[in-house]
Amino acid sequence: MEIIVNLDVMMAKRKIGLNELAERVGITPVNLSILKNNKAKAVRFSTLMALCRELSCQPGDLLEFRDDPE
Amino acid sequence: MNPKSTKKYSLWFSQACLIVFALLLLYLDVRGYWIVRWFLGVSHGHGGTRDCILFMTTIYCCSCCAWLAVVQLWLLLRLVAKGDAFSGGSVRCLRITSWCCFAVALITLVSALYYLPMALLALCAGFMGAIVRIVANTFESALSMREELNLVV
Repeated sequence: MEIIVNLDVMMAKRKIGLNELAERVGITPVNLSILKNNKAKAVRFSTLMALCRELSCQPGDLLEFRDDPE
Repeated sequence: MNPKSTKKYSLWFSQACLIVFALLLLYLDVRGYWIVRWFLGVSHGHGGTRDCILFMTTIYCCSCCAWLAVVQLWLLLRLVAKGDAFSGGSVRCLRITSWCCFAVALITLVSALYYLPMALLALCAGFMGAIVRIVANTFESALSMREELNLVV
């Protein structure tokens, strides 16, 4: 069971780079990279809100619950 | 007084205390022989060369541990001044300091064989070592919490 962050998919769809998105969202590129690579332990609502605003998407487009029986 | 300057002065005070302690330790190391001779002179039932050698051995063995502890505490204060209090380095400094206290406790416990009041010093040093060890465990816990917080985006 895990939460997958599909940030790279949305970034590719909107054709926006990591550094640019990080600057617009107000977090460091390092933190955005942590999120993109599924290394984050938690996401603040303020960060999620900013991501949805900049990528013009819903939270469900970014976060996916995967229930892997294996 | 604003919190930032309180913290700054508190740090300076800690550093000053450590410097004063180091100077006193240096004085003890330099004047150790004469201090022991004076002490044995005023003590009843002690005074021979053997007692002098035993006391000097205890004092200088404990002094080595004390110097190591002083260095570790100085490094710890520097980390705190840098804003890096909860780090692997600070946990290491505290662990080494606690082991120094335990070493002093052991040395003074053995020294109680020839001078019983040393057992009291052993108890104090052991208790100090336990306190520092608990503080190290607390720092370690804070460090893992900080690392987890670093992964909160």
